[in-house]
Amino acid sequence: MTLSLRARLLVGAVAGTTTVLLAAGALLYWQIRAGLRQEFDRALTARASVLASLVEQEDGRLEFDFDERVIPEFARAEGAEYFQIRRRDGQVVARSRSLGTADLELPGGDVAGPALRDVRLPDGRAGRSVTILASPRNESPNPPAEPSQIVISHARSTADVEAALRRVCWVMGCIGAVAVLLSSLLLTMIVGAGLRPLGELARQLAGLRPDEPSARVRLDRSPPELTPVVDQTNSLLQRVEAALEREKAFSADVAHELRTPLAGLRSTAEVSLSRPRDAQSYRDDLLQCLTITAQMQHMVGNLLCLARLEAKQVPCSREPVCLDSLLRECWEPLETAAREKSVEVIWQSAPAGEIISDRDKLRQVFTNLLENAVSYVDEGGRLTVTAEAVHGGTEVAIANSGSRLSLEDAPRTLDRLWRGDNGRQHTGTHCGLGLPLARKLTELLGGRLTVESELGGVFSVTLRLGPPAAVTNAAAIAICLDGPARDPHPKAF
Amino acid sequence: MRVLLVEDYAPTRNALSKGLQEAGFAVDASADGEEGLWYARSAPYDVIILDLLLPKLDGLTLLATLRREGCEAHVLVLTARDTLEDRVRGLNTGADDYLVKPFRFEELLARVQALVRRKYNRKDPLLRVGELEIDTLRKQARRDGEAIDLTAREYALLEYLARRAGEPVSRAEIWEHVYDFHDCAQSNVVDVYIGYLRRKLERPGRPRLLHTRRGQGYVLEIDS
Repeated sequence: MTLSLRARLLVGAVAGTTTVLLAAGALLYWQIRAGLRQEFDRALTARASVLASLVEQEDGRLEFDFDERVIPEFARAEGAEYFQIRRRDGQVVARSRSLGTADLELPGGDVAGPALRDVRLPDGRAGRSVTILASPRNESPNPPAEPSQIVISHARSTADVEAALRRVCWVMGCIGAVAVLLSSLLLTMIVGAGLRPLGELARQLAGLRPDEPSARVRLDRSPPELTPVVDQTNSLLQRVEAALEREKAFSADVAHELRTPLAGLRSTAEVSLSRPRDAQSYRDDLLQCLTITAQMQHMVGNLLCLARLEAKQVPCSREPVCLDSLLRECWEPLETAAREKSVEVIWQSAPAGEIISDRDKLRQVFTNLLENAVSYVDEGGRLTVTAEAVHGGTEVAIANSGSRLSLEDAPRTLDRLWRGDNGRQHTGTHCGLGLPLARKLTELLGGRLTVESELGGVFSVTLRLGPPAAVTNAAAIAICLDGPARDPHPKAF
Repeated sequence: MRVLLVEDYAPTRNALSKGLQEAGFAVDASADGEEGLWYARSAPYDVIILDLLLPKLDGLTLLATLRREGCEAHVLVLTARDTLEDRVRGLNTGADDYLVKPFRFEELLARVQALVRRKYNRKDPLLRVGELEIDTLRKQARRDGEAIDLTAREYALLEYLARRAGEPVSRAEIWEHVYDFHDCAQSNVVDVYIGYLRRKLERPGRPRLLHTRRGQGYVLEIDS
């Protein structure tokens, strides 16, 4: 089970706080313990020094001037302290009454400074002893050059210290537990407050509905960490809304584009049938209906092809294609129309230029572009076809004079159903799908199609054909278009 | 009645022109907005059938211009866009009616005829002047129940005079409302057709219906 962010933060924070408190408590405890023991040792050593000061040497004899009434701890039956005074050679000089016949153990080795160690007292209690080396008092007028030295051992119980330490430990433990509890509550509140913007963001995202594409996420006083998330989310929502609007507009445009020829079809048929007519009239009207049907078929075919290309359902074939031959093959049916407009046609393609590509799709692209060029070139204008090898590929350019589009409008020709003017006089032959389809096909072939235009100048389309498309079918696949709509009785619209 | 058709899609334009002419209307047709505006300014059309998506000048701008200039022709908008916003925009700009493509020609014709009746404040499709009855839907005329055989131009002339029954109608007005730009402008063509109409309309011993008012024109009314 994945832990929530809140749980992770809380567990981590509480664990961290507890660890810190434990470490601090342990440190404090050891500091207090060290201090108490140090104080104990100091008192122990001081008491031993006091005992040493009570030893007097006179005429080579050591006398211990000690009154039990002054320090009654050494005479108690219970809870007593102990001392033992020896010469360097180990001869006992004095011992406390509480010690009885027992001896206080001496530390190993030669005693130089105060030697402190934990011991077990004669009555079984835990204790601590100090052993010091001292010189007895000598108040004779001629003290010896090398005074004798005595070893004083003093021991007392550490029960009080241990009890104090236990009390400290208990208090610190209680305080620590309360601190952990309080800090957990505080951390819960802090984490909750800190995660509130994230919760609000999650709530808003969960509340987004598909039928409200214009909805956006908004966080008041958004923390800096969430600002990029909010901005990127809103940017994504904006792109989704724009895409939905484009789809909606496209659907409306398609309906509109199809309604225009449908209206022509219906009006032609209804007027024809409104009264008896001669055979030639009926024939003319039927031919008109056929022409409109062909236009609609062309448009529907283009739409279907675009849909399949966008769904990536169109495979590509690979074969050697001579670009110059293919271009001229596509140009042949348009020669008459170009001649009627007195267009000057300039060919600048290398006859032997060959690439590996899908012939049918290239034919469709070239046909679309050449038809466009012939339709929109001005009377007596110029149409140029160029094909040349460039670094890493081949470039084909088809340009016509008499452009009615500005530089800014040129890229829009690649939008589906976009047209430079509102008119529908070219409906069926040019419904704004030719260039978008050419672009999609070019991209399928691994190339790139760009458009440039100058108002009143040249409109040019350039194909950059790079490495051939991936092979998915060895045989050539028929293109999804039946070919451009051909009016059996071409007339100028 | 004279109709201006502004539609850029040729098959629709040709079919509607033909159908309206056969229905007795004088029809001028244009394929773009600029030419359509020129036509609309050049003659007092009874009805203008206007497509919205036109080259050179879109239909809504054309309509707004005409209304601003005080054009009183009734306008029927034809368009493939059928959203509520498009309809409201068209009507608010000054259209009198709205028809979405594709449509039945029969419905277009009925709406045009309704607009004509509205223009002349006559809601009844049956026009009566004394014992003369004119069925504007069937394009037939009867006097005393007897059918009068009229050509399309004669009927159009009679219908126009009947819609303005009791008012003197000048030759110029007849020319503007019964003929289109393709008709040959001859100075006496109206008089000739008035003569044809009189011969078919008047009955011996029956009150005269078609009168000439010197200096004013012609008037269709019962001879008092």
